[in-house]
Amino acid sequence: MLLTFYILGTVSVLSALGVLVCRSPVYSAMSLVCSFFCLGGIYILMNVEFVAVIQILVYAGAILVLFLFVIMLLNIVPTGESVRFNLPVLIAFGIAVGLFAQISGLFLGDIQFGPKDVYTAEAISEEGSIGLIGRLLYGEFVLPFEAISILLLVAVIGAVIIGKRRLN
Amino acid sequence: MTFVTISDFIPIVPELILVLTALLVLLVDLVGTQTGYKMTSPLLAIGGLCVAVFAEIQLFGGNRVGFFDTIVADQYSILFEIIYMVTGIITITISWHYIAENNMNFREYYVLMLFSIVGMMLMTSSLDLLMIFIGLEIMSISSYIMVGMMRRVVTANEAALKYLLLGAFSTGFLLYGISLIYGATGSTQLPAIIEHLQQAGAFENPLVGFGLALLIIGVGFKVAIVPFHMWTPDVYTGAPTPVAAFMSAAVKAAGFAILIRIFLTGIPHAERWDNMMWVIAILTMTVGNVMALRQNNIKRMLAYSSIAHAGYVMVAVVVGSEAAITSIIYYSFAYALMGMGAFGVLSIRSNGKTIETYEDLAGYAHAGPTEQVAAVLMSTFMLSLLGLPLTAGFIGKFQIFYAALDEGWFWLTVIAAMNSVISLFYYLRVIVFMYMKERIGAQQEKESQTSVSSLFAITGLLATAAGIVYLGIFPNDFVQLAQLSVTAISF
Repeated sequence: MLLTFYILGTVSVLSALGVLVCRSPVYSAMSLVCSFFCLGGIYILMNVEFVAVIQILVYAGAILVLFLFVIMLLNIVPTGESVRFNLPVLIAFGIAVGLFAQISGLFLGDIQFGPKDVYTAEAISEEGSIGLIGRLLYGEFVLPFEAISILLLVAVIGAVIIGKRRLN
Repeated sequence: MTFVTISDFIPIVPELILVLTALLVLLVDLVGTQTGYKMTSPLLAIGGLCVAVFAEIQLFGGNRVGFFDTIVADQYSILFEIIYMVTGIITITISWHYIAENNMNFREYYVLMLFSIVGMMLMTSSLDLLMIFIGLEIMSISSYIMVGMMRRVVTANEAALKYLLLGAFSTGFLLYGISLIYGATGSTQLPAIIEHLQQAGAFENPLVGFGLALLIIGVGFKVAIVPFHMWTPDVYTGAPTPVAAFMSAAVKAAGFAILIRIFLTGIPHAERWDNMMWVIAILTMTVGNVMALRQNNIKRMLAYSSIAHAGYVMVAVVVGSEAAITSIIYYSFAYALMGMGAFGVLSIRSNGKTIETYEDLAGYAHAGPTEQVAAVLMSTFMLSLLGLPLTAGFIGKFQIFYAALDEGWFWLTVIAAMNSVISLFYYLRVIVFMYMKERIGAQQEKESQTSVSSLFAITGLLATAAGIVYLGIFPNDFVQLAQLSVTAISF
C-alpha cells in the first residue's frame, strides 16, 4: 500500500515537472494526463472512489481533450523561448508569493473546522462514497441537482447561439 | 433516507411555471417560419410571467417551506421575485422591436431571459448556499449569452467576452468563499451557518472572515460596487439596450437580495466590517457619479449612474437596520423601474437612427409624435433617477437617508446627498438636449417612421412611468409590503 503510494506520488510529481519542462505543448499535455492518472490512483488509495472517478473522467477525459483540441486548432509550435524575468513578471511574482504566504499563514494559524455531521470516515467506508453521494443527490440535494439541468440547458443554448454558422 | 413529497414543490410553483414557459417558447420557435416581427414568443413569455406573478400572490403570506427547509416562499423572497418578473415583462416590451430592427433573430432571447429570472428566483428563495450558487450561475450564464447575442457587432462581442471572463472569475471567488464557510461552520445552510456565527468567538476563526470577504467580492461583482465595477460601462454599452436594462435592474436587485440574506440577517453588526463597507459605499457613489459626468455616450452615462445608485443602496447596507433593509427593497424596485425606463427609451430609434450620444438627442422632443411621448417619458425617468419629489426615486433616497440618519450615520448621509447633487448635472443635461437644443445639421425631416413595434415599447414604458409616479405619490402600500417582508427574514 505504502509502496504504491510512493510510486504514484513520485510519478505524479515527475510528470507534473514534465508539464513545465517539455518544449512541445502536446508532450506537456500528455504528461499532465499522466499526472492526473497518478492522482486518481492516490485518491483510490485514500478510499475516495468518487473523487478518483471524477478526477479521471473530468480532468483526464474532458479537460485534457479540450487542451489538445486547442493546441491542435491553434497549431502551436514550440518556439524555444523560455520565460524571461523582467520587472513586471518579478513584481507579479512577488505579490503572488506574498499573498500565498499570507493565506498559508492564516490557515496554519488557529483554524477551527465546523462540526463533521454524520459523514465520518467510518460511515463513508461502510457504504462507499459513490453510494452515499448518490443518495444525497437524489435525496437532500435533489433540487440543486435538478437545477443544474437548467444550467446545462442554458449553456447548450448559448453554445448553439454563439457557434451557429449561418445567421439569417 | 428522505424523499421529497409533492408538497415540497408548492413553494417553487412560480419557478416551475417559468421553466415550463421557457421550454414552451423554445419549442414554439421550431414551428412555422419566424419573421422579424412575430409576436408568439414574446406574448407567450409575458403570459407565463403573468401567471407566475399570480402564483406568487397566491403564495404570499403562506410562508411555505420545502426541500428539507432549504427553499422558503416567505414574503421577502416573494416580493423580490415579483420585482424580477415585473422587470422581465417590461424588458420584453422594450425588446421586441429592438430584436427585429437589429436582426437579433434568436427567439432563444426570451427563453434565456426566463431562465435568468428562474435563476434569480431560485437564489432568492433558497437558504442553501449551494442552491444560491447554482441560481446565481443560471442567472449569470443566461445574461452572458444575452449580452453577446448581436454577433456581428464588435462592441457586443467585446462586452460579452469581458463579462464572461470577469464573471467567471468572480464566480470562482464566490465558490471559494462558500467552501471556506462550509469548512468553518460545517454546513451550507444559512440558518445553521448563522447559528454557528452567532456563537462567541466564531469570528476569531480566520476561515470565517476570509470566506465572508470572498462572498462579498463575488456578490459585489454582480451588483457592480466599486472596486468590482470595471466591467459595467463596457458591458452595458456593448450589450443590446434591453439586455443592459434587464441587467441593471433585475440582476442587481437579485444581487442585493442575497447580500441582505447572507450578510444582514444573522451576522452581528459588530462583525460587518463597517469601516470597509462605508468606504465602499462612498467610493461607489462618488466614482459612479463623477464618471457619469464625464460621459458623452448616454448608455455609458446610464451605466455609471447605475453604479452610483448601487452606492446609495450600499449606504443602506452599511446601516443595516430594519428600516434600511426596507429602503433597499423599495429602492431596488424603484431603480428597476426608472433604470429600465431610461434604457428603454434609448432602445427606440428616432428617424431610423439609434440614439447614442447627447448630440443625437438634440431636438428629440420635436422630432415626431413617438418622440414627443418618448421625451416626456425620458424626462420622467431622469427626474426620478435624480430623486425629485413626486417620483419613486425621491421616496427611495429619502428612506435610505432617513434610515442612515436614524442610526447616526451623519457624514455618510451628507456625502450621499452631495452625490445626488452631482447627478443633477448629467440627468438634467439629457432633458436640456431633448427640449432646448436644435437638431444639428437640420437634415430634411422625413416623415417619422413610427412602426407598430415601438408602440409596444411605448406602452410598456408608459406603464413603467405610471408605476414610478404611483410609487412616488402613494409609496405606503409598497413600503408596508417591504416592511412585512423584512419581518419575515430572521434577525
